[in-house]
Order: sequence, then C-alpha cells, then structure tokens
Amino acid sequence: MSLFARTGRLSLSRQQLLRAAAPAPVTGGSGDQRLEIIRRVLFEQPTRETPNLEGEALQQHETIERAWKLHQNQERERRNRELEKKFRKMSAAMNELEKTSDRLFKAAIVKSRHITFPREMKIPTETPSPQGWNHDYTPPVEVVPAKNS
Amino acid sequence: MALRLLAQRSLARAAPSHRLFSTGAVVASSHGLNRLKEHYHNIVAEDLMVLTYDHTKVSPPTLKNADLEALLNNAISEKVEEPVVVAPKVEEVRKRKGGKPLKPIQPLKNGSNIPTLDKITVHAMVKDAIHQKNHILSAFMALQSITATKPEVIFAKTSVANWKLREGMPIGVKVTLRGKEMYQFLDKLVEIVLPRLKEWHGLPMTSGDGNGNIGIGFPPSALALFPEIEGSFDMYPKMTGFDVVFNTTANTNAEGRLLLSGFNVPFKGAKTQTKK
Repeated sequence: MSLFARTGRLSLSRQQLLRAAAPAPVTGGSGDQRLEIIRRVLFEQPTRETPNLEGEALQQHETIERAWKLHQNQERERRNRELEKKFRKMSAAMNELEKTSDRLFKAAIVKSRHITFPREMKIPTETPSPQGWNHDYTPPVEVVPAKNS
Repeated sequence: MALRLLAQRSLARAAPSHRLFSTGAVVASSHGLNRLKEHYHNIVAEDLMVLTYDHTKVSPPTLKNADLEALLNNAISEKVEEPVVVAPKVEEVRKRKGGKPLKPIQPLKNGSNIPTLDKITVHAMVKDAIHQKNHILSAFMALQSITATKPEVIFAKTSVANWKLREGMPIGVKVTLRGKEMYQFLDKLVEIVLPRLKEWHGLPMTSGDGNGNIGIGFPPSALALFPEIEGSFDMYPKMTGFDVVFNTTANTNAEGRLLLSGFNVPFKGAKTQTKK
C-alpha cells in the first residue's frame, strides 16, 4: 500500500508539467473537452472479453476456486472457534472473580465510553520504513483554547 | 572422546532423527495481501472482544455437538401444548421518550458477534447537477477512481421547489464498498488522506448515529489528496465534497468508535500514551 502511495504521488515538477499540458478549462459547460474525455473513458471503453474456459482448464479453474473457498472457510471457522474459546474462558474467570473478591470484581467491570486504541498503534506492514519510527517522540501537550466571552 | 563423537556421527547418518521437510498442516497464509483485514483478525478482534465485554450480557454457550436423538425423543415424549396468545402487558411494550423510533435490542455477547466493519458508503451530492447534468460526470469519475468501483447515480426522490430540483433528476453518486475494496479504501484514507487534511484533528468523541455507525464529511479539497486524483487533478472539471459512512456491526457508538480507532482513524481527545 505504502509503495503504491509513493508511486501514486507525483513529484512537484511532474505535477506542474501535467498542469501545463492539460487543456485550458473552458467555462460554459458543454464545450468543456475534459467532460468529453471523461465520458469517453467511462462509457465508451470496449468491454473486456472474459476468457472462455473449456474441458480440463475449466475443471482446474473450478477446483482451485473450490479449494480457495474451502481454505477461507476453514480459516474463518478456526478463528471463530479460537475467539469463542477465549470468550468462554474470560467469562468463567469473571464468574470466579465474582466469588473470590467483590472489590476486584467491581473494579473489573468498570468501563469507559471514551476508550480508544492508542494513536501510536501502527498497523504492521511487510515493508516497514527503516526511519519509520521516531523513538524520541513525546506526545504534544494538549492546549485548551481559552473560551471567548 | 573423538571415538565417541565419530560413533554419534555415524549413528546420526544411519538414522536421521528428523526429515528435512515437514508434511504438517499448511502454514497459516495471509488473506491475500489485505493488510487491514489481517490487522483486524490478528490484533484488533481479540482486543475488541475484551474491551467490549459486558459481564451482565453474556449469552449462554451453544451446544457444540447436540445430541439430536435425545432432543427429538424429549420433544416427542412431552405433551405439545397449544401456544396461548396473550396481549403483552403495558410494561412489556417498549417505548422511547418522545415517541422516537425504537432502537434495536442489543444482542447478548459471545465470541462471534465482535464488532466488525460491514461496509463503507462513499456518497457525493452534486448541487450543480441541477442546472447542468454534465457536472455529475466529474464526481462519477472521481469516485470511481478513488474506490475502484463503479458508482451508482442517485436520482431525486422528491421535488424541492426552492432548489429548482424536480423528481427524477440525477443529483448525486454513491458507492457501497464491501470486503477487499472496503479495506483498500480505508487504508488509503487512513494512511494518505486523513494525515494531510488541514486543520482537522480527528473525529469528535461524540460521533456516531447511536447504533455504532460513524460518518465523516469531506470538503472538495480533500478529494485532491487521494493519490489517484492528485496526479490528474486538472483533468477533473469540478471537485466535489463527499461523505464517507462507516457501517459497523457494533451496537453502540462507543463500540463503533473503538473499532474505527483500531484502524487508526484519529479521534479528538483520545488519550495518547505518555512516555515514561
């Protein structure tokens, strides 16, 4: 994704070049050439031919599709089983805690409505940047703006 | 000493204790290079289960291997009673203050109804399309290029005289994203567009429609931040504002916000970890 973003983002000079090459915007609606281009790209593209599979090739294709679906199904079931198991264990632990210590149980069921994942949480990538993490980062101190009255 | 070593070596050569390859279970593969989906299943889902746990609303465990025969015999042996229809008592009829529409009842918690992202709707209303239908083309193209899905045109349902809007006029475009495209769009939004928005510090902590769905509106300038549009910005005659609605399977706003923050969507006033 990040790679894609990098290629998708054009350099400034290239942007300026494109801007210069773009047709001058014509005000007045129907005369705009860009609309004509958009219309042609959107609706006048030739329909792509779908490959016509027959015989053994079709069988292979269907087998692969079925195997992939089966794999996905098994993965999903495995995940669900794992989560369900953990959930039941958690529930049992809470029941046990209720019997053991009233004070701890009360503390365990306290919830906040404004809870979020920390902003610093980074979604893992397969190609992380070597300079991607600022180890000396300190969160900014939030400044509450004074109310105008 | 050397002899013993030699003997050991020859023994190892004669009967290899392990094979060079394994024929065990297939290595757990990825979801087909879907980064956010993997992130959800590997990290977020479990945390959500713990964070949204409510001890007063735990559903009873379902029967894993139901003894069908015993159940059947039990059902046959017992007398079948005619269900008696009784009008519900006044206390049992659900009502909401002010005669507002009722909210759905929250289901009991278990391991399989952890909040997850259901769909993302990207919608743009083009007001200029009232005077000139051509203007909708630009929004159509823009939405198609940022979501990689063909949008649908929305026609006015009613006439509004003040806006000179008549019934049946094309007035907007909409894309509904699910599955792979949804996660890809969210990835782009979170990694590229949201960090580059000017003077925007995150979604408010009160956002949500009451049932766990969250929406954001974007100004026309935000459309140019998408990498697909940035490169060919001048080919679009008109930039339009658009809104993005995250439909989640969460039941409360708090759960919906928690889920979205798991995908790195920033929330205003969210606590940051203090460094020790």
